[in-house]
Amino acid sequence: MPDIAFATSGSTGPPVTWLRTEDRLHAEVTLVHEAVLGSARFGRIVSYAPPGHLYGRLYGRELPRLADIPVTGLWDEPLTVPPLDDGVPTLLVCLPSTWQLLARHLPALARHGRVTALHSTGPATPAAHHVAGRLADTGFRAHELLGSTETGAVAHRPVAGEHTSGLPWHLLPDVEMLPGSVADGDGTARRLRVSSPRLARRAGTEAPPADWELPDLVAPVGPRAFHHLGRASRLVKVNGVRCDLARVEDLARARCPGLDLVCAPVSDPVRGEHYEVFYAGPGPVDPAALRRSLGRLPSGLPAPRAVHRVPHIPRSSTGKVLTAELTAARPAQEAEHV
Amino acid sequence: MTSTATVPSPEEIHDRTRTVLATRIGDAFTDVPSDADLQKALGERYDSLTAMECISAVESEFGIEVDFVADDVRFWFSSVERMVRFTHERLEDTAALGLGS
Repeated sequence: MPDIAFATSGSTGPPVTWLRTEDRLHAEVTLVHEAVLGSARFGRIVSYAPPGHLYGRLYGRELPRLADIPVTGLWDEPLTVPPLDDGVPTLLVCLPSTWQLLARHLPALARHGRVTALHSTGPATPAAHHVAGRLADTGFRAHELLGSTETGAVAHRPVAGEHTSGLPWHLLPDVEMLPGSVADGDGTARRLRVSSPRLARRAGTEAPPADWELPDLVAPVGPRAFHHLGRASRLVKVNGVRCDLARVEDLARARCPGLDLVCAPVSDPVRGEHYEVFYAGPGPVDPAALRRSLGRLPSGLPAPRAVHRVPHIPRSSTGKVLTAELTAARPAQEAEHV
Repeated sequence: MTSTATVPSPEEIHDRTRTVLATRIGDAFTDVPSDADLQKALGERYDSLTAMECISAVESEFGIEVDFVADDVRFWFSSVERMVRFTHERLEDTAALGLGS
């Protein structure tokens, strides 16, 4: 049986295809079903995650097939409310944006009482924490998965309520945490490096790698748990698409010579993460032209959420961009939203 | 007799709607006519997630609630004109029922 291909977008470099056997896909959904979802018997799966990506494929196609569960695919209809009037035990396969929809239907979710939500492909949004908090005393359950196209799911945790402090992530049973690259001076923050029998094989190679280092920065809490501290690289995910801000800056500077231009990651209530562009220049620069130019980025790179003209880009004495100062000084009057 | 005196005129709703949409969509929205289909005019700039943001913005601006089950949101939030009609009717209903603040 041929391996199943999942492509990273190429927005962090050349497009890369990662191959997985069907057996490994089945192993992953079985593992998550047992270890995260408690082997719950679902009468229906409603998926908002497109099946072309690993997460959507696993829980919108493989799990329904393995467990013989009817599935409703709503990845092209993110405004459509899941069926909530019949009490059928339901698994919702959520994206960051799905939580805005669920937040509008708290009474129906509470009445239903047998809904489980699975979240992945980006940070849980404020709406996710709001929903989890409001439904904490009902039968509603929500879990987050952390992983990548290269590794599959590696860790999980409950979606915390809005008044709950950050919960640690726990490794899935078949994943081991290895010493990752040190990311700060005292060694508290490390890149998450894992080994697992479910690592994907890169197209053109004979076998999967022995281990893999993710861009996520973690602080271990014992051998099998960690706190997530952020991302080591300048990587954000917008609608599930990886976006390397350094690459966007290179492309933007090439198109706009003379401009001092940086991208800043920002949280986004709908998409989880996004980025905005700040620029300063010696001469008059048409913001609309810059916006149009950045709206046609190659390789599926998402356009920035907004473009802002600023008097100058604040930098430290060593030249490092002071992102917090930059975003705090966001000039609303001159914002050019994309 | 209904107490519609507190309901903004369609013209006012139109102007306020365009203002809140402009803050969400940006200057690409400026030249889009109010009767234009936003998805056709803006393409990916008015995807489903942006539509959700705009619905929330209109709700917040006018103090109304959109029911994603009962209201045909794809129809009513496909153009500015339709948003204005939807909002005006919702505000009139609210005023008539004495539910407004």
